[in-house]
Amino acid sequence: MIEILQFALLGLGAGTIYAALGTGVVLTYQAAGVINISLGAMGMYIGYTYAFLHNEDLLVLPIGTIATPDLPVWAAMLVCLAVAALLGLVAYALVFRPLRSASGLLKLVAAVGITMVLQSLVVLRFPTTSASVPPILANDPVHFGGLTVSWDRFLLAAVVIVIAALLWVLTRFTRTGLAMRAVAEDERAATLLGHSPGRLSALAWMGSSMLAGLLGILAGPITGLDPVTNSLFIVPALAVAIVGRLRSFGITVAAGIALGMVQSVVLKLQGDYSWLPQTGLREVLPFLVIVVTLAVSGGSLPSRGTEEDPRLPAVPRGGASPITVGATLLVGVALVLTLDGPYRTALTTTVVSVLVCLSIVVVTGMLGQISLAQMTFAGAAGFVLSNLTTRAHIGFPFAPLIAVALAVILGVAVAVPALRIRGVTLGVVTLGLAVAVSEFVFKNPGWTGGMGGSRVPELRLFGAGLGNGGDIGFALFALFAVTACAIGVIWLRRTRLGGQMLMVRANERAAAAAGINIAGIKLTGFGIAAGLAGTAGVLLGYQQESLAFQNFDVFVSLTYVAVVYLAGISRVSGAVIAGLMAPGGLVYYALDRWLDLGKYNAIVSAIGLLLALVTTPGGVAGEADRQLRWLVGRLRRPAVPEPSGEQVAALGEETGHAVSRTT
Amino acid sequence: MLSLALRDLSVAFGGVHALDGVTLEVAQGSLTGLIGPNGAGKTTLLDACTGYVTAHGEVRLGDRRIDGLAPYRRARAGLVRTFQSLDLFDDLTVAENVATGMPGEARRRWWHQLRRMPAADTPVVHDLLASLGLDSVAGALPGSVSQGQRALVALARALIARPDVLLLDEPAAGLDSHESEELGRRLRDVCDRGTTVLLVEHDMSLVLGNCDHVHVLDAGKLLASGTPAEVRKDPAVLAAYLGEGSPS
Repeated sequence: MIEILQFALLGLGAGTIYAALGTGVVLTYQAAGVINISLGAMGMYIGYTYAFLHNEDLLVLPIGTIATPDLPVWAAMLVCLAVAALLGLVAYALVFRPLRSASGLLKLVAAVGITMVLQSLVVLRFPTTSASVPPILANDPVHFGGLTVSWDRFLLAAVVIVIAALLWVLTRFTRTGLAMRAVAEDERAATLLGHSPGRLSALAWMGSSMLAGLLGILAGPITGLDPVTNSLFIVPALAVAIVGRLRSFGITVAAGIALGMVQSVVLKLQGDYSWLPQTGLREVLPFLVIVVTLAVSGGSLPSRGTEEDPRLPAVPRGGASPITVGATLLVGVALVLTLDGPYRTALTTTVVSVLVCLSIVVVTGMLGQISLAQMTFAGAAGFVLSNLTTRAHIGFPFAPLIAVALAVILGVAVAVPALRIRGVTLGVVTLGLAVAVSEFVFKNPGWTGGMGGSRVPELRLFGAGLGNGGDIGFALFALFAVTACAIGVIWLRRTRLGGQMLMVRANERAAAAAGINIAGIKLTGFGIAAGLAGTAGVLLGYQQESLAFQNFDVFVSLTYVAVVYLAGISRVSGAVIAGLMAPGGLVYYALDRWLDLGKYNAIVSAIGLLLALVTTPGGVAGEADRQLRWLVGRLRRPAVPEPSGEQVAALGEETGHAVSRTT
Repeated sequence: MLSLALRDLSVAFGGVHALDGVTLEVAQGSLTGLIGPNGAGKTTLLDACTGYVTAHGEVRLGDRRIDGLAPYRRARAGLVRTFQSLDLFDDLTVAENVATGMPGEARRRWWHQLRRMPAADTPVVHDLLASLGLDSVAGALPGSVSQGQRALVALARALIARPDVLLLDEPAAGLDSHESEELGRRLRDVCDRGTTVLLVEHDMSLVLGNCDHVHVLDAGKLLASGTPAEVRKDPAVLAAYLGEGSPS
């Protein structure tokens, strides 16, 4: 028992981080309406800034470095917090202010973009990615009742509790806090009463960034610094923020500390009982917390009254013609035959990426559900393929078929929460799922080969080996397979089922009123999307001849969602463009080679993503299509029918409506 | 053609009784009105009938009990409704919006679901649009037509399903008085062709001028029922709803 308590206290450090980041999530959600998943990365970035300021007397800013005198600890912390506030303000002013009336999905994608910028900044600007910092808080061991705990854990927890209490007082008893709660309830009404949602949002962004930064500094000595691990602290933080209904600072902090403690105890139990899974049990907990909380509280999070009704980009009418598909396929074949070496590998990567993006087009673009776990389905199928081929010696086509079928089943299972949960909340659930599966299953050496990765033997068709991603045989195979899938998705758009998916996306209650079985449509749509993603995982296995958990990391899923959103999430052409632009894809690789961006590639593409999001929220493919239609219209100069008097009258009363819709 | 009967229907939101033991019947083939002041529970009553809120009590469509069924199953059983906020599909054209309501479209076997979507401009859709004066905007998106036209599109989407019972939530909102009169004639026509209609409406002249029977709801309870003439004279109704003045 005493040992359990000992471990629970050891979890105080991690728990405090979750509590603080969770508080930051609540703050930005209340005041700015964004589920800010970039807070983990913000804390990580400020942690690095402090480490370098303290160790090297260098203030490393995103651009430029300032040599400083040897600053005392408190001064260095203040400087870093100022940097955090500034970064929060910049993120708000340049990205989230322009996107303030955009859909929840778009804001989520933008937060992914911010995360990518911060991660690539760390790699670029801080020469050693594993900086160690001397402890700031006193860490003398404290003994009581047979327990020994380092003093700094208590101090850290105290700091966070005090901050949360201050925030509570601020929101309860001050005018600014009242305004913040009013904005959270009804942005439009609060605006009419003379409150500026913009100013409040800016404050919230600065405040939550400083909070994340403070924890990054204080907890750095406890957790160590790593660009990926520290960014992922956001997942347990989201879990505890959801326990606090994205509203209560007190519950969020309590849940955060409790989650950290339980995780630590689980770690201890894992050591004691060998029958327990030895990997990832800790990381599954946040996902369970999210699912159980949402199940108990009855579905979605409290909605936040926003100024406008956010919508996904419009779905094109008709879809691609056979001529377009045929021409694309011909270009693909020509490229396979002419390119060689790394360019051909980039081409097969493109083709596989197109398939992942197609799955996102189906689940988000057509069905309107946010899934951040598409690579999880791909990974499930990929590792099943590896196990079937290397251990059970089942070959083509049965092994891939079984693998894809399993991905479909998994996809349908994930759709079950989607029956009650919508929008960004569903995104958070799938994010938790992606992390849980990655840690619990994909990193389990018994199932997937763990760090070493698992082998996938060469694909053999009618006795002939097709080679891997660099060979003509496999490249053609992948190209034809993915083209077949793309034709399937184009066809799906034109079927009754596709029409019903669009109806569910547009308006669930009206779809139900038209007699549509929404649950059935959602399960089917998720299943189809997971099947596409699973096929991509299978192809990826054959392409690389080995798979590792890094291939299916949650950040890979997030990147794909971001890129396909950018390219045009509601069209098949968007998936093709996204495949070209995705990391490792043909355009990405060629730009990297020609422009010799080298180490700047990651940050340039992350900033490019944000820039494109802010300027073309409808996606590149949609914008290109619009421009093309306009051009064709101009060239043809169709006879415009004279509007009738009735229509002109109608136009007058409609204008106000149309404006609110298009902005 | 079926009747709709509610028995002891109650809906509570937290501690608020939005509907409190309402028992009423909408006679087979009738055009029945449902009126009441704001917050009386009219829309909640429609939501409870169609399964959009959790309700206690009995809902019968003809002889069949339908409470407990999911909304889409009630729609397939022949109970179709419109929404006050219209809830059109913004990505579909006016004709396609109407075609989504075609009877049987949603309940085909799964292999039919993978067949091509039927074209929206079938003669049935076209005739209905023409009769509502919507043929000129058949190819337009709902966002680009007037509010009055949007209301008619929502009505058309419900009508094309040939429902046994049709529940209309303020169909005259956004219509001018001329269009509203036209709507009244059209609803009469719908009833004569064998659909039972329950009309929730603020436009008093539309309800009192066209309905066979009127139910009055106040604070979640049924206040009065009768012919328009009876309801007009009912002192409780006058006090609760029409106030001091006479119905306009």
